[in-house]
Amino acid sequence: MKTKNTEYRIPNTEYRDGFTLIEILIFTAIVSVFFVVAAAVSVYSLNIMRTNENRIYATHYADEVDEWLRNEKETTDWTVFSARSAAAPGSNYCMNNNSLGWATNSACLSTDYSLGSEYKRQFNRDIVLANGTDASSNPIINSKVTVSWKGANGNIFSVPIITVFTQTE
Amino acid sequence: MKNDKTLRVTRYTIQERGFTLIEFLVVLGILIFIVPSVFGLIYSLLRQQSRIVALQEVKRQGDLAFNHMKVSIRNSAVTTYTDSAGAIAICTTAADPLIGATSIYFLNAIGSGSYFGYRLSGTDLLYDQTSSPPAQLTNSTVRVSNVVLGCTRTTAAVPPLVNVSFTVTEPTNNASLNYKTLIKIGAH
Repeated sequence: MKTKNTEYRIPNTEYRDGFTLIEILIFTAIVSVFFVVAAAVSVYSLNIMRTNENRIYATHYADEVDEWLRNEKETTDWTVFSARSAAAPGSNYCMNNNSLGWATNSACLSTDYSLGSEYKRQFNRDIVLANGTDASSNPIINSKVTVSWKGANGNIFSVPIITVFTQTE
Repeated sequence: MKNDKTLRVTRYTIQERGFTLIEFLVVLGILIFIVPSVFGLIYSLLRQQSRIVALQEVKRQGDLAFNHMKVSIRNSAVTTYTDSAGAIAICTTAADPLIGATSIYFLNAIGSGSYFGYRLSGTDLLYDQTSSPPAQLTNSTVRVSNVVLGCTRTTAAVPPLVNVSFTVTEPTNNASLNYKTLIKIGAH
């Protein structure tokens, strides 16, 4: 009886040439880890790309309003231009209008984010104009333009541009 | 009985070699979800990359044309004209402004009697200079539109103000930036 049993078990072992459950599980685990890491890296990279794209737009919008401020200073009288400013911390303007023009005297709301092209209205553009004097007591206006936007995970990114306007420039 | 049982189990194991239909279906089901997600992710990455490249190109060419105009007009322009030969003067007084044109020319402070100017040709912005071939400020990868060039003057005593505005667009990725400024003629 015992001998017969042994005879039949040997061929059984020889023909078992598939994968065991453990082997499959280890393989699946390795492949899953690879896919998850690859997907995470891709999503992270995508977020960075979006941030870079927005940064290019934001820099342009900041440059645009900085250029417009220079024009305002060139084309209007210094008294009129400096009346737009206030003593530090300065007066705020929310410049979310694409057509560029003096907006109402207030900072952009955190719910606004309406500046941008047709498909990307997601920026806030703030100007702070603070007046003061330079080392020779000549009047100056410090302008700080900040273009900000919300990232995918709720972080707020911003591009600031600081310019000093002088009367005799 | 014990022998019979061992025999049956052994035979069953020997016969089970390939995959069953259910196993194939399960694998197919998993692949149906994984493959589109992977390709979708790769597509998003490539698309985003191409949008950034397009936007950088729009900004590079737009900034180049914009700065070229600002520096040249501010430093070298003396008087304003509507033609490249300097025959029709404009903005000589407050009464003759140039509004909404697509070309404008200036007497060049450097080089006696030479003129330079800017004009829209199709979808490209060109820089013209006396006795030189026109130079392209933007190339065919981007399109320049909404070009508005002009000048105004409040009195004959102050130099003319040149207004420049245009839009640079990359059509494939719909990347677009607007440029607008006023330039005071510096060499007046």
